[in-house]
Amino acid sequence: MTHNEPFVAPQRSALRKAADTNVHPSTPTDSADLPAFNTGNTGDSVLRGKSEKTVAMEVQIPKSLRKRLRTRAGELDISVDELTSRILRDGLN
Amino acid sequence: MPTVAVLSMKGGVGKTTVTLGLASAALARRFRVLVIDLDPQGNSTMGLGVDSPVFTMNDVLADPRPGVAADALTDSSWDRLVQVLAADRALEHRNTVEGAHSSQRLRVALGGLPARYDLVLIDCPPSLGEMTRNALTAATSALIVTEPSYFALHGAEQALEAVDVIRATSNPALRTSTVVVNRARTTVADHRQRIGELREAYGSLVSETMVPERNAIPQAEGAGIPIHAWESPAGKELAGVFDSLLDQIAPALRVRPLGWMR
Ligand SMILES: Nc1ncnc2c1ncn2[C@@H]1O[C@H](COP(=O)(O)OP(=O)(O)OP(=O)(O)O)[C@@H](O)[C@H]1O
Ligand SMILES: [Mg+2]
Repeated sequence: MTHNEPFVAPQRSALRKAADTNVHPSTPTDSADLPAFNTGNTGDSVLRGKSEKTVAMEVQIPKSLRKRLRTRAGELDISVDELTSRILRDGLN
Repeated sequence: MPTVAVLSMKGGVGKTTVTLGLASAALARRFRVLVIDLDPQGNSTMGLGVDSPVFTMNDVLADPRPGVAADALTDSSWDRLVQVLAADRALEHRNTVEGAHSSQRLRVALGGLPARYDLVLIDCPPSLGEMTRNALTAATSALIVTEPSYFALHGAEQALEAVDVIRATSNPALRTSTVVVNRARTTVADHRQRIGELREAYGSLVSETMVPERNAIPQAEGAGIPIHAWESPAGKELAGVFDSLLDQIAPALRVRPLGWMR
């Protein structure tokens, strides 16, 4: 069987462009998943975001910086771990 | 209608080349061909001379309505008998598990569309992820492309396993696969050894037809024309290769070539 007639698509309700057509596939989505600074959100739910696993990491930082971290964490009423995660996340995004 | 998923886990082994070669062979016999480009790189789309398509597979797979793919059909520049469901960069957004029946998205979107063509070819991205799962779920058979190298053969093994998984889960009707070796040079001892290994492991699944390495392939792809229209000795040789491969993967299309170029 051979065919020489052009194929004609039937009329049907129109397809629309996908909402993410112009979003570059490399656009990070994890930053949008997390609330920004000072949202009044407290507790580790923010740190872990979408039930992301946490790991321990040892780093050497100036003693004065650790003091500032502790003070700021106290002001925000969040843990030092959480504050550090937020700062690192913002810095890396 | 035969719906063939062209896949490999490894990149750059020739999936798009084989897809376009088979489309060219079917067109030479005046069959109606649909090429579904499921690779966000959009190489099949480009090779078929399609530039800035209105709709792409990203739009199709973002819309859950059955049969919606018919709205995205685009004519190729080769011939009116060859149509495309094009890919664009944004298709990468769909390459993830979406909804409860994620691997059925393509099948649902196509609805009765494949029945309107004599051959449907699905060009997969170089991974066994969600797009390839969708291709295998919508396909009637799988064509695995490999090269005679250690890594490529390992990738072919993984692809064959993926076919088995899909057959056991979302598409029990998926037929036996064919493995085609691209860039084969039987004068090279290492190539002979690798092809021997492949035959030992997969026997008759490995096609006797192998695609030789020829400059005419990138040249015709770059020019956006079918290999059967590439006027050179290499073009003619490759046309014969893809004719044989088509005979093997779609025996129903084994008819006297009408010689549309003559
Ligand atoms: N037999 C061949 N002879 C010469 N060049 C070839 C041959 N096969 C493929 N090529 C060239 O190698 C490149 C990669 O081939 P192709 O795009 O078909 O691979 P692919 O598996 O589709 O790649 P990807 O995984 O990126 O989708 C292309 O430039 C193509 O023109
Ligand atoms: Mg490709």
